[in-house]
Amino acid sequence: MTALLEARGLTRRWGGLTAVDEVDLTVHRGSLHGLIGPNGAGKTTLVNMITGVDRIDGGRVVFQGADVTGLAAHRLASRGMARSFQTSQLFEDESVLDNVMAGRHRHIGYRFPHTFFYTPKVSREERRHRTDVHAILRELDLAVDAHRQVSELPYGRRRLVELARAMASEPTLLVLDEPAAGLPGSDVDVLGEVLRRLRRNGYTILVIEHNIGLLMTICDRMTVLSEGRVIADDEPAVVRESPRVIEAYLGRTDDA
Amino acid sequence: MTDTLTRPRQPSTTDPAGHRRAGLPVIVAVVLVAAAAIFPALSDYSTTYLFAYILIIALLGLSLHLLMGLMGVFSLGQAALFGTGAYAAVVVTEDLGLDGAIGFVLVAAVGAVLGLLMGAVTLRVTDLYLALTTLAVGYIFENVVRNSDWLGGPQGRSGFSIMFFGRSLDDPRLLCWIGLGALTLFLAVIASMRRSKIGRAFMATRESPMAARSIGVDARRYKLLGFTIAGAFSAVAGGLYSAWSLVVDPSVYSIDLTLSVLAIAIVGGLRSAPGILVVAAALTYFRNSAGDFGVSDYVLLVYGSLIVLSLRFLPLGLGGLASSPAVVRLVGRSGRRGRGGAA
Amino acid sequence: MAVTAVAATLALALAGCSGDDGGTDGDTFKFAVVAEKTGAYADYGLQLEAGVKAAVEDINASGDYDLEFEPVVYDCQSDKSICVQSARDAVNADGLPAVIGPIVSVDILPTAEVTERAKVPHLVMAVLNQITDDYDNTFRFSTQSDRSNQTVVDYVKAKLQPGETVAIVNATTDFGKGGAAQQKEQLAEVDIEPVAEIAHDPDQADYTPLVTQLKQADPTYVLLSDSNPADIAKLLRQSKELGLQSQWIGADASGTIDLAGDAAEGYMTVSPWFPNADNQELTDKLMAQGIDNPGWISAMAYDATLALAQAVQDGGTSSEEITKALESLSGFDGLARQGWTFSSDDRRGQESSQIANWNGQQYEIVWPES
Repeated sequence: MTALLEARGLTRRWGGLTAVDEVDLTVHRGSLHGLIGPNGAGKTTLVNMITGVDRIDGGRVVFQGADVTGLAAHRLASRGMARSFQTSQLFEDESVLDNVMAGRHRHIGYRFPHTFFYTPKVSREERRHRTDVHAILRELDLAVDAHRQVSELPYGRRRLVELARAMASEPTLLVLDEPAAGLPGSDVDVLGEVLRRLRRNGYTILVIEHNIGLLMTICDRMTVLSEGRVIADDEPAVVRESPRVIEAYLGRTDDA
Repeated sequence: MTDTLTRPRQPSTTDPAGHRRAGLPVIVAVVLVAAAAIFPALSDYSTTYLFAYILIIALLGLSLHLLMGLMGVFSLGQAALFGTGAYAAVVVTEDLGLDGAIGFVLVAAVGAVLGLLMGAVTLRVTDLYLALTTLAVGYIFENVVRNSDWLGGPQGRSGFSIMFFGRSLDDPRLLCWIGLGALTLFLAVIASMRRSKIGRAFMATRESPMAARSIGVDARRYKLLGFTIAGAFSAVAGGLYSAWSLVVDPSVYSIDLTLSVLAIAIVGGLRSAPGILVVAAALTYFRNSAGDFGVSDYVLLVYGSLIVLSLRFLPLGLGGLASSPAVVRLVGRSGRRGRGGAA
Repeated sequence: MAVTAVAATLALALAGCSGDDGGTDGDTFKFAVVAEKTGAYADYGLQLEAGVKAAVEDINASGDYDLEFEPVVYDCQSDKSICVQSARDAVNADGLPAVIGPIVSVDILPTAEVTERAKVPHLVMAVLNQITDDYDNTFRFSTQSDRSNQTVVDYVKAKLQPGETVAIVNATTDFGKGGAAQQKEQLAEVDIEPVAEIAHDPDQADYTPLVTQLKQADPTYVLLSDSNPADIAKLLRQSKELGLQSQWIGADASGTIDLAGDAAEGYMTVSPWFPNADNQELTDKLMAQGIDNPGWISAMAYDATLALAQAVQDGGTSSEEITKALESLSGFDGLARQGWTFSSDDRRGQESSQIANWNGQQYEIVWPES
């Protein structure tokens, strides 16, 4: 397997506090990679740095073989790095379809003057993308809600819309920030199934969770952060046995 | 390699072409037919002028629809764009001697550049700061113009004649046609953008700049684009206003205009072009005829009350009426009753 | 379908308005009065309307005219766009053959563009030169600003004793800067060099530095170009407190006297007309129309209406006939001013203005000397 994303020595400081300290992270093509750690371990900060949302104080990020350190978020997205957010960043007043269509942005090629005059070219391309989006919605069992406003949907469905929007950009790397946060147990299982299916279909996924049980069962590899440092990076079975992980994390939970 | 999931396994059962919105050609056709139906009624000279004025105000209202409603940018810079367009039209047609058919393209270009600059200056600011910065641009321009002799100083310029296709815009019907053309073009551009990539980029930037960036939308670029388009059409509205009011003076930069157009846009619904058009026509007619109804002392009171009432009961304005929960419930209930009665 | 709704609304909105024939209707002569009856300049507009109505009452009661006169008043709400549209309604939709008003120059210029195109005579009370210079259908019923300034300079020149001096003070507004520049030029023509020229920004609380500067220069006369009554009142009060001896001469700004209180005593104003004991009759007529403090605008509007009636009586009821008759008006005496004179190339009406001294009770005309 080749590395799709390689982060080396990533560091982020807030005043005297080092939130992320010399972190290395490698995500292989086609893998489902988990990033776990207790609250305040620096998971979201790390992902924000990788996806261009937060500043990088030290280290490098290589994506698809190119150095993308410090590139703006929208440029990284154009290169195929899609992400979801821990707190919902959906377009509340718009329909599910429009939300997910927005995710197609980087694949829509028509330009001026077509955009201004809704030419047949636009019409054709929009129809094609809408077909693709409907396929994604069906995949996530969202098709029935396609024309409903996002704000009308229950919480769990909205998390799926967020996932759908990220998927719609056909990302090379899909970064999911706590997709299971706030979901009831049965929905977490469904989500796990969805993620496994995506991985089978060839997606590379980096998923942040602190629901460690979910990740243990679906991940190919896991990186464990604690207080801004990597304390383990291996297959789930190995991580599960690591004394440092048990001490920092598992030891204090009765999860299995 | 990542496409497998997104390929449809069977033909889509729902209509992916989007059945909810009428096609653009339909909109244009309806506007033109409506216009053709109205124009015979415009045999009266001053009524025709009033209609032209409504069109000018509607153009400005739509520019707010684009900036505030679609892009979520709280700009108070319309007066700067409008005023500059008003002066530009006089300079271009009178001093450069160009026919309006070319001249107004230049006016639009001037407005576009100014809009672009305004967007660039305010790239890093939002909300109140953006509103105040754009407002300040209007004040600066007003002062520059007031002290420019070649633009007529405080008295402005008058006695000019703006030609279009070799005919004078003193003919209000020609003015109406040009105004209607500009309005239709603007409507078409907005409707088209709204349903395509740009519209979704505007929506994304408006609702969540962070999410917009995460799907590859360069928020700054689209902000500049929106300002540029709004600038072009606001300037054209200003140019038409010069032809309409026959005099262009520094009052074209006044905040009054910005505020009354803002009132129209809020009452009509910032997100709703039809709502804004209806309210632009209704309020402009009301304002103009307030004297006949004997209520001219209360014009501002009426405007203010409408804004308050609309913000309280119809946050999405008149255009949001159709989709407001209360109305939907009401219609739903009467629909059920109707069926029950028939059974 | 929303678009159809828009179109339908527009059509309905517009269907309501249709013009009716104006002008002469049997024995009645209708004419347009476009006035800022509401909004920022409502004071001016109401003065205008009162002047016209007072005159029309007198005209119709006199029995000297063949026709009954009837003003059709359009409230243009102190809004330039509505003033333009009102003028269009008046001359095009309603077909009225003559227009009086509005008052503020921003409003007059576009309405004059409308009346000029329609070749309708337009009677204005403005002071701006441009209005009678640029339009050949206008007739000025007031004194234009350069002639008012000239009146002040004439007065100063006549009164100035050897060793006495003049200073110029102006607000940094369009009105203030324009007036000061004009007065300086006119003073230069009669070889008077101002000993001080001081400009001030409007709406300041403290004018002490300005007054101190004036005290050092110690001019006999201070020529003031400022149209803001509150600022003038502050200048007068602070001058009195600091013991400035100079004689202030300023343009008329209604309300100044009330605001300045006893500091206004001895303040000289230049204006086309002043209410005083000698013209109590006109003042009463104007007050009968519901205004408390008749000023020059209402008095000039009264004279303008008289002149219009005279022109209709002499010439006829069409725009062309009225224009011709007004252009041949010479030495016409109104109730406010005497000797209104127009011709096809001079539409300025009056040669000079008047200067009055406020003595604490009323205005005493000090110039021209009778």
